[in-house]
Amino acid sequence: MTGLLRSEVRRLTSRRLARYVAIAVFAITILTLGRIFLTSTRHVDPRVQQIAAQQQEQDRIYCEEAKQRGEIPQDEDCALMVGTYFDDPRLHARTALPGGVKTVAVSVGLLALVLGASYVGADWHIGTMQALLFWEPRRGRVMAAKAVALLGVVAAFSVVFHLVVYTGLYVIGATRGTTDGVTGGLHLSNLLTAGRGLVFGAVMALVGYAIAGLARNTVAALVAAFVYVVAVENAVRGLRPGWQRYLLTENTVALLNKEMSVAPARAKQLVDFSGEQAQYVLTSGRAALTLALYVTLLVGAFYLSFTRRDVT
Amino acid sequence: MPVIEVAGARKSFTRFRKPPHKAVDALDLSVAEGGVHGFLGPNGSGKTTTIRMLLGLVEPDAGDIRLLGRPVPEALPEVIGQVGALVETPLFFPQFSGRLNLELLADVAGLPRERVEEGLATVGLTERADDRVKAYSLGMKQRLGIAAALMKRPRLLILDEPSNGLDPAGIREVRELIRHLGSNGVTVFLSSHLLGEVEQVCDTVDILVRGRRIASGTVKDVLATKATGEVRVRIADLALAATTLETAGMTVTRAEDHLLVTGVTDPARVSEALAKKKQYVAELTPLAANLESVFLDLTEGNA
Repeated sequence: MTGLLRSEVRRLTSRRLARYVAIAVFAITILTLGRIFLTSTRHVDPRVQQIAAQQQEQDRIYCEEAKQRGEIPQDEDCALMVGTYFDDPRLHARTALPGGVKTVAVSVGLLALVLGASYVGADWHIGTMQALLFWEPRRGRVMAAKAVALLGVVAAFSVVFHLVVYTGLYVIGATRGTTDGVTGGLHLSNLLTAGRGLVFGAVMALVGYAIAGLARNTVAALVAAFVYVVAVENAVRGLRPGWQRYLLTENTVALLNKEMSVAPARAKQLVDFSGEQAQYVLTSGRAALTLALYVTLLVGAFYLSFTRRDVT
Repeated sequence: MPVIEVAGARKSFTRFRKPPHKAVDALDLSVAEGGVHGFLGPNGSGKTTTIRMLLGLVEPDAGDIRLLGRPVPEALPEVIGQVGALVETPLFFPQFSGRLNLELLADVAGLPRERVEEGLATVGLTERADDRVKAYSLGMKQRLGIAAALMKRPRLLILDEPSNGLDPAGIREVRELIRHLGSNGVTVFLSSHLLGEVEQVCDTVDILVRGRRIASGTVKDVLATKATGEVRVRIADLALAATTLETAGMTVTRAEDHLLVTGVTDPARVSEALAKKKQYVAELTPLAANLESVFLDLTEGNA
């Protein structure tokens, strides 16, 4: 099993697609971080800030006067009524870091889907699956080794990608922006988000792997995924809003954002007694379970197909 | 002990809106250890399906299959390390080098790297081993496939059309390699369309038509089943001998330096007829059928 696993990891990392994608991702990341580094600055003309502050003060005064005249409701918060007259050019690490973690998680998920699908699809397309079975006829082992290799490579890629982006954003914030509000708690929260992102990456990798294995084709797997997201999910949202909680996208968003509000299970619950829209809160735990169930079903179907269908 | 045993194997493939295609139909096969065994049949006769069943790629609908004495597919993992195989076109990653492709396979079986170099050297691919497989000719891919099969140092080597795409020199090399392996303890199970090649290298042969075995045995025995009934006669006076034989009821065709007597069930009748007339033969050779003619005769007769 060790030899098979080593062979699969080497096979996967030697693939042109995997290498090109990794190079492209890191090139784009470095360029983006470089651009942020160049545009983030602490040096702002104090006159610009002064003019902006004056303008905001005028807005506030105008709001208070309008309240007194009864032109706007008394409970209106005037702090929310002032305009934005100055874009802070500093990178705020407090908001940039969580955003970076989620961007990396979603990117890794999408890349993992393509990588998983092409990894198994290419094996069928070229016929190397057959050649491999001359050497290891235990199909369950072959399947397991491929899955473990895929998950290992996706996890390693994800960790390195997270480290590059997180470190890059933090360094930019510390040198040319601000790290105000970046606390140990924020780092921990980001770490947990990255962990959930890793789960999402694994889910997407296995979804691509299982569909390509069932279809014995990469393109069929990617088309199926695309049709599902574009057609099936939108149709469900429109026709059966109560089923929203079972959709892959909603569960993914809930997983990464810790929770997501979706339509309740039954249409009549859409409006509650107070007349407001009732919502069902999809938690990250429930989302993880739902995604795990989908993956188990897909991989199980692939296992049954792979161990029973002829290789011709 | 037979290295390959197939008893009553059947396999049908379902087809869309058509009746199932019977690829293998009650096939019995037994290949003894050692030597080179030919496996012949026209296209679609079930050869490749049989090989796929032997290797566990295709599950038979019925029948018992054993490889090196162990049942397939249940115990295939126990013996696969002793079985090298090349089925149809060898399948490798085109973007990887020949060496990397072999190393990946060697890793699966935990074979040392030397086996890779050994395999490459055996098929003469060492110098091109670091080129991408997509740059290889069909013949080079075929040789790489043979190298992969040999890396296991197999007890049983299953080759499906190993000469595909090879030039005449390559075909000769493969023929010599097969002969060498066959005479050094490796059992070679060779499926091929090149009947001349099979005749030259095989000790035993099975002929398959429509998924059924129609002839089996040593090449000599199979050839003997279809004797031509022709006898070549060399004699001092060709004209006189021809007349004698025709008078005795035989059909004679005259060539420049010999006579061709056809329709003779027993060559002794020729020498007997000539001796009665005090004519003595210098050469009397029953002409044997070649495998091609026997193959065509058998397969057309069963088509």
